[in-house]
Amino acid sequence: MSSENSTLPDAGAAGAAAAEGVSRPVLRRLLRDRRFLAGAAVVIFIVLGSALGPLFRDAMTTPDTDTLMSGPSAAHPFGTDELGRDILARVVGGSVVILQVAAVAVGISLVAGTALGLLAGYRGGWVDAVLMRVVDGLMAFPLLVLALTIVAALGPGLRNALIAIAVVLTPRFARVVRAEVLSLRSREWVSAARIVGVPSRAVMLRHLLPHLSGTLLVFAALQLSTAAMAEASLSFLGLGIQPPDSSWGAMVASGVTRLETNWAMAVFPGLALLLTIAAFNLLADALRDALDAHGPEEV
Amino acid sequence: MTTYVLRRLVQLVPVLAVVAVALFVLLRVLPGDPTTAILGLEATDEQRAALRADLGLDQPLWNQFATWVGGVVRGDLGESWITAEPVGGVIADRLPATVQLMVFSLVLAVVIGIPAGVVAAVRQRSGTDSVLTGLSVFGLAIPNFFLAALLVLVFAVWWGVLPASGYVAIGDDLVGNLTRMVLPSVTVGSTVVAVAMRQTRGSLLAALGEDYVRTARATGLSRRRTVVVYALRNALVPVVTVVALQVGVLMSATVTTETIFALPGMGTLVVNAIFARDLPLVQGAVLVIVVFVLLVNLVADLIYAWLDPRIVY
Repeated sequence: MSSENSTLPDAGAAGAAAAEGVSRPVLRRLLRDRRFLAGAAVVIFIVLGSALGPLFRDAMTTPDTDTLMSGPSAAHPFGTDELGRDILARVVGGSVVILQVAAVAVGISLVAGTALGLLAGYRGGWVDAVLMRVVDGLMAFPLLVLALTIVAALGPGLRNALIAIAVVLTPRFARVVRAEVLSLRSREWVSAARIVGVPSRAVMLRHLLPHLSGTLLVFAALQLSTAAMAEASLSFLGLGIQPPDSSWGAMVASGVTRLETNWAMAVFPGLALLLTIAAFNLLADALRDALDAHGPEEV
Repeated sequence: MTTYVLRRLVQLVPVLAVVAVALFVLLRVLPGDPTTAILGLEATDEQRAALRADLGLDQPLWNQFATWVGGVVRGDLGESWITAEPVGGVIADRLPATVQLMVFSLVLAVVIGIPAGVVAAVRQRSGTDSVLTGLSVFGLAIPNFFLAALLVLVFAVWWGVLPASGYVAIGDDLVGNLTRMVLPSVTVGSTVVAVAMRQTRGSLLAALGEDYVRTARATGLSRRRTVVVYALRNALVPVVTVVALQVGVLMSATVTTETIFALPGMGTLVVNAIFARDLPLVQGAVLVIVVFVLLVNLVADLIYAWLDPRIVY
């Protein structure tokens, strides 16, 4: 997103970068990139926090009835919520949800979208035509609106929100992979593999797929922030995670109605969200520049 | 140009077909028996059967689909399951607030995003550039509902200069409407302002590196004139499309924003209809949203083709 030159995706460079995956020079470039270091630091911090999450279960759920809705203090650095629960503990505990949903939803859509994209791009013909029309149709929905519609069908809840996010992201992966496969399909090594009788499945999985790794890595990193934002939005609307469980989006929602009595309830989980999503964006930007694989801009 | 417009309209047909099927499958096939949502758990089997016949749910799925699509084509989006109001009328009541939010956000993108991008490009690698680029990272990463919470906290709760929520129709009370729309518009606009800024900065920097800019400078034209008259004009062409393509993102943003500010728009309509399990309302509202987004994207493409004579259509 922040790359200075707005050159079009260069299939050659992207392919070459993809072929080498995250190799030594790429890693060196990443480690020199301040965006990567900042993003990685935040993500590591949050992963550690989410690993500590279970330790906070008691603090998260045990009300301290002496201090309801208090502002930040020594005993409760982020203050307490309407039930006297420690907000810091809840923010730390809530990190698990967003990381899990983002990772799992992106993982599912990565696999499903890659499979569909490979099939459409490699097979061509009516398979391609049908799949791509479906992709066009699904991508015509604004992201959150499609996710809402799916949740409307399946019913509210974190698992359904996760399914909705995965479904929403799948066509994006399919489209990117298909475009990449189309540019690779006419290469000599693909024809060579076909001529010597390598079955289609093997051409797709063993010959084409490895060349997609760079593009997929960058694109998946970009979608992490989209998935995290979607989970937060659905939970904020009350359609994602359901009480008594909570995630940052849901915490902001309950804080918003109580801004006048305790601003800390909305502000701290919101800051955690902002930091996480910014970190995902920075990582994706740095990865893209390091691999020189210019994925499509955020849709 | 006419044939291009026609071709683009024809291309919309398969997309709309997929959208219609997806909406039908999601909201009429998957959710199971809707009579529970309408009648509650207490209703007898006879009551349920009568309601199903009344709603046409006893028909084969193909018939139901054909009836729905036939109605949509004639402009009839069906009736709400809960209030029995026509869905089209409910949507018409809700459109003004959402459209106003979108228009105001796009105005912000043009008035703030583009100039900020120009400044950042002209002063590339300066402190100003870093601050503006940093702000754009912030604008793209902040969830709209959190930005809304911060704005309400500062401007409504702490300073008390703007109302925290509520809506007045623009025709009833212009000032009242505008003061209530400031914070929601900034909330929805934050993303598109950031996108406009980044795109303007990037494409202006690219334009400033072109030969014709160097030539213009060499003939003795001032730097200001070169930037504004020559480089910017070309740089803005992609900005127009990229900003217009954000309309889908804006739609997503209005959902949470309308909820927080209690605006009677399309977003709150969909969310409330989901909670009420009023599926025809969800179906109709989402369809209208998708068609709206597709049309804006189409217009963006046409503007792009019109602005850039090199584009062959």
